[in-house]
Amino acid sequence: MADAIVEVRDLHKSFGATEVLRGIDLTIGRGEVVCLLGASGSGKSTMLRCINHLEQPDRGFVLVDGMLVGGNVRDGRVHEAAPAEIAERRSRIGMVFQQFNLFPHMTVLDNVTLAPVRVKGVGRAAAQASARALLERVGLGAKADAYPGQLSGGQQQRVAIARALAMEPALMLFDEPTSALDPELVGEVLDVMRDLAASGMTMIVVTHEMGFARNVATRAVFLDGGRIVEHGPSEQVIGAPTHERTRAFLAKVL
Amino acid sequence: MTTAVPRVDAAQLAGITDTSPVRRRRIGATVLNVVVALLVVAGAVELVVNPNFDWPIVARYLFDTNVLEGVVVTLELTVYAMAIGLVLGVLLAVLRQARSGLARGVAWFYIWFFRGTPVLVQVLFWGFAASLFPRIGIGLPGGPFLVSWDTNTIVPIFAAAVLGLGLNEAAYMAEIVRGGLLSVPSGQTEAARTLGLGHTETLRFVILPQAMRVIIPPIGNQFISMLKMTSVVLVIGVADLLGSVTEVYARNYRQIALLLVASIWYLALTTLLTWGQSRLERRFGRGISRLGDDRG
Amino acid sequence: MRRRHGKVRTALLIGATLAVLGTAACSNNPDAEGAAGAERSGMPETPLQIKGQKDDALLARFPEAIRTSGVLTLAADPTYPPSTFKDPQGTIVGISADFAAAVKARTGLDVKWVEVPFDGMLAGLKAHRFDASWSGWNVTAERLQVLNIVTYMNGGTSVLVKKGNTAGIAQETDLCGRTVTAQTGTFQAQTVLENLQAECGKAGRPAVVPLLIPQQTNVNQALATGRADVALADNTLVAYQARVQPDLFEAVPSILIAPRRVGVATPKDATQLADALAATYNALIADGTYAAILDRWGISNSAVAAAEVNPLEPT
Repeated sequence: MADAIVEVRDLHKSFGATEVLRGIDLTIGRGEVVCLLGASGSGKSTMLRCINHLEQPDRGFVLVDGMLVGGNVRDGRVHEAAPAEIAERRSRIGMVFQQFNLFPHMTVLDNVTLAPVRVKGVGRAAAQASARALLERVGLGAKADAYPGQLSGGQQQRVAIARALAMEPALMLFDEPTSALDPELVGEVLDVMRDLAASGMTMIVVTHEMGFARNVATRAVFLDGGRIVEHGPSEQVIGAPTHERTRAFLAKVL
Repeated sequence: MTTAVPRVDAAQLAGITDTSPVRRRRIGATVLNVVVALLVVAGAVELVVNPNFDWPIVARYLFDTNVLEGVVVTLELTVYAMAIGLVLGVLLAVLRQARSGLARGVAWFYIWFFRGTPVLVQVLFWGFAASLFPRIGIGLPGGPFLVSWDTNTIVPIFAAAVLGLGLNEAAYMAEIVRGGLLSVPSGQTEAARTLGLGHTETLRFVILPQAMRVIIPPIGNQFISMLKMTSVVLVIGVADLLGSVTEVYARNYRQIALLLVASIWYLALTTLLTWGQSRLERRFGRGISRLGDDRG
Repeated sequence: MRRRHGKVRTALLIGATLAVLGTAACSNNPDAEGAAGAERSGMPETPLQIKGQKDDALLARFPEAIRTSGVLTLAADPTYPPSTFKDPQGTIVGISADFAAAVKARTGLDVKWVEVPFDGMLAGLKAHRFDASWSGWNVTAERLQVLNIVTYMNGGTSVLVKKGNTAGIAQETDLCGRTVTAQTGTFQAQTVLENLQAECGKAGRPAVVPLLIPQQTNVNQALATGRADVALADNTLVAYQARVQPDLFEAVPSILIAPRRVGVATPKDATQLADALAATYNALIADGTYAAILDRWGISNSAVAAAEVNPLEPT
């Protein structure tokens, strides 16, 4: 691939006796929007979390924008990186969680400005100005001084997206971003994600929203039992799956 | 056989003029209220009328110089010991979650040991540490000191009292803080880390502020406990409130009156601390107490 | 991935090593050994001999309430040898216990001990929680206002120092500027220290630094660990400690502060009991039991000719 931003090579991960990832190979290009599909337990969340080193692989590695998030290569081995190095590399990857994980003791504005101020050293005034612009972009400019507890689920998730974007990441990861939302709130979050995709952001999304996967994602990857079973253009994988298991899964979901 | 449930017939239903319910009269509760009120009044009258309470003596010694000095010492001991307890307790709590097995082990051992021995024993140890270690210093085992100091000079009696109380308190604080840290959902740490915040920054800006809401009530409790616990320092000769009062009644035999003086002071200080605690709870409850309140 | 060596682990290891070295160096210090030291047994070698029989005339002098119940309730703070302390089995022993046994033998009354810290005894007597306090009460005018004291011995305050007397204490004014420890509530803590302060003030010497501790055991410990330079206590206790722990303590024989009689205390209104006790003691003096007890504890030179109720003493 011409401009690969994520390269996953031979990724293995076990939790205790259970092997969750049994060798994943995947390359994602800049500007792609990739959907990870699969049943629960198929390893899709784990794979996502390996990308920004929230989970540490047992074997194999993940390259993001040419760098290993969790380690340094020396003498033919991968050495665990220092916490400060990991933190610095993580700041280039944004993540949005199923449970939003906003900081409840801070206002929306403070949630968005915390990392730019503390990690990148941006001045408070400049950070607040950028934050307000981002909140406007996700449609929540008026809520800057509210507390997360006062917002609806959809609003909180949009703030979470703004918070992740404040660090100007090269890549955005979404871990089932709408699964915890009431149905009528899902749309507003998907709209923001669609805009983000249109603006050229590279996105990897674990989701059950087939509509989004089909229409917005450029590629779909179907995992089953810790392995990639099928992948390709999303229209083709979802509309005309070739593998038996893909078909079985989609039949239940669509 | 079933008990007959009275059914409402059409005529009754039509005859209802007002549908709002008439409150049931609770006879039993009323009687209880009267009895309790009578007991309270009787108790109050007894307090005032019984000469053995020696209220004039209480009044005379309430602001006696020695007693006031004792109050100051008690407050100083409480504040210093709690300061040590809190700082060391937070450190121990963080160590308990450390990656290094040795760090976790040291923290566990400290908590086990200092919670497992009576605070009185710990105070006695620090007070009379010179019997085990006449000098404290750094040196080689079996050889002379490179540099050493006389134990009694390094650890004067007041410091021994503060150390005995504070180090003991740290063990309890560590568990309270650890509980508070555990109460913060792991998603918060994950979110902070993915934003690029380091370990210390995550603790400082994300975890600890949220943990405080869970930590404050038990810490307030500990503070109030410490206020009374300081009286154990009597045994190494520190004249706290209770010690000062003891010296007075050993002389004038008015034991009850002087103990009342001490009790009044302890109550007053406890009330002050309780008020302070509620202020703190309100400050740290900002935003968090709203979670779920405004939401459907 | 290969694990990186934790920084925290290294730091803790260094810290732990230093701490271990430090304490090892401390505990190798020979001075620490002396604190454990050789301790002689404080119990007398000869057994208690009570001469004389039960005397109904003596019993008749006691208040009716006590005769009816048949029990004399005595308060004791058993941390004060040789007056009142506990043997390894936990039984209360000492000069007081011997006299209590003698009173019991002569009157047929049972003796019941109530353990009370010394600083609470005055209040306890006033509240009539017990009939009498068997500790050796120094007589002062202040105390006689609220107590009856039945004197049976000569006493006074002596000075105990650490072995070697490095501070060179030889006379009362040598105590000025020193840290002086005594048991809370005792004659030493109250009257003696006050008078000492006044003296030091008059002599233009620095003030005494008092260290008052509720238990005599910890008073001794304070002296032993160097928290105090000097301990003040009844002459019998000072002599006892110097004899029983000669490697740790020594008495200063040149100082005897405020010599006066000491005795048993009863509440002020228990005059009949006080008289009865005085009569019993005098009976013990007459039949030789008194001399035997004092001799047994090595304090024969503290003997008085007769027991008295509330004798006058200098302040």
